[in-house]
Amino acid sequence: MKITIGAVVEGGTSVNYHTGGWREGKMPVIDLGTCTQCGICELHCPDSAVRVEGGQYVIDLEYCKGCGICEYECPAKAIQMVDEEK
Amino acid sequence: MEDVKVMEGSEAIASAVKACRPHVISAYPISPQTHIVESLAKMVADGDLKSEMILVESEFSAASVVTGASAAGGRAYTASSSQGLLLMTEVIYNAAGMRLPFVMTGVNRSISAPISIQVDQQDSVSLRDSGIIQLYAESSGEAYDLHLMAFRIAEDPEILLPVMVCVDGWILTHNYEPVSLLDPGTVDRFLPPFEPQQFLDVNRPLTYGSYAEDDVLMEMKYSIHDAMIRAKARIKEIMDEYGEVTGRQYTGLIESYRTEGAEVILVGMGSMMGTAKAAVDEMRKRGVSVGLVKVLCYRPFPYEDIIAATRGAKAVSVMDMNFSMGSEGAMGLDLKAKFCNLRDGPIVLDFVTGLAGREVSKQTIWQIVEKSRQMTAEGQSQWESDWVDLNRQILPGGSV
Repeated sequence: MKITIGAVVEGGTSVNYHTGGWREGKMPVIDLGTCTQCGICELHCPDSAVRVEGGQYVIDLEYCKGCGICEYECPAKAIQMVDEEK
Repeated sequence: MEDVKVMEGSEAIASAVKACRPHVISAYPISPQTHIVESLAKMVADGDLKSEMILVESEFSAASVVTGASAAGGRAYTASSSQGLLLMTEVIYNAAGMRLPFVMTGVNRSISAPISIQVDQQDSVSLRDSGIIQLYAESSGEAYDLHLMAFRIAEDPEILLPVMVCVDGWILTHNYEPVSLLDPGTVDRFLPPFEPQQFLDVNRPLTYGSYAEDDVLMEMKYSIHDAMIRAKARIKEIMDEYGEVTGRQYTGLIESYRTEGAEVILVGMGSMMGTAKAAVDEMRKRGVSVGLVKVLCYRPFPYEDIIAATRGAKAVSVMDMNFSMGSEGAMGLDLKAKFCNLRDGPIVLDFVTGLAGREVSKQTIWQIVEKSRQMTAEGQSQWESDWVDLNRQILPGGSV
């Protein structure tokens, strides 16, 4: 691999960095029964770690850094940060 | 064809920027930089300059706008001073790292606290490690020329770095003197349109400001330094080309003045070099063996040229209009670092002078030269910078 001028590379390369490994202690869990599918968690997630899969909101733990913004923002209180042991 | 006009230094700089036809100009007011961007804003408002003029809410944004415009492939320009330059610092490191070739004017002014609006070079010198190329002007005419060259230097495919042309606040920006403007045809012959090799395009997405880890980050940083070092030869070539097209000769990254056989050689940059040349002439007339090296390009630092120009001198006396707290004046450090390993080299003395507009008169320069001669005659060296004319009487108790 050669480095490029200004470290400019093709788009979308952040997908290659599995920053979920930075998460410590707590992970978000969505209670699908309570979730109203409003999408606010997806909008607020700074790591684009919330996705819709098969009509349901899911958190991609490969990228979630465990900041808890989704829990704080969820108006239906459907997201909880729970203890995680790795 | 040249058009000589008496004009304010700021207007000369704005005229140079206009001749380079930037796509985007961002502006936030701060003295003593304001007249430059005011002048450009008027040109745009009057329809004399077809640039996108973006008035922003802070210098951080002003720097961010030119960074973005440059990443989008445009030619971009901004200006600032003092606290404004410090607020731009984070962005300037990024722009240099992303190799974005915008041009800016750094109008030199003291840094708070205490607050002052007067000139010194603490602001631009504080950006010396960022990767922005720094050029320093002695006069309004030189500021005009250096801005034209700055775009060529920044956009050169071998260089691709932002360039800051530093001009002493008030002394240059608000002074009226004759400036010889070039006609647009001559400027166009020297400065072709910017053709970026890579730029942001929605149809061809790229990542600017990508994440890098320890496996490549040192190499990325080294490549910025390497571009700076290679820029030394390119800047000289671009200056030569400027001379061919315009008939205005620049000797390179430094200018030597009456250095032949000089025992003491002053080194400095900016407007005080004009006064220093007059002082050198007077001293030479009285038989004092003194010369001067004016540094036009501070980063990359032309130490090879300075070493060559001062060969045979007994003392190299640096005039620093800045200070690194807890250490010494910045250019004094630069030179001491390079001269300390020379065999039989001159001693390097650092003189801190002219902070916050304290006048650097011919008398001040005489005094520096006399002290340098005395120290060399007595075989002394210098352990730390000499603060010229420091009034120790008014220092609070306990000061050394």
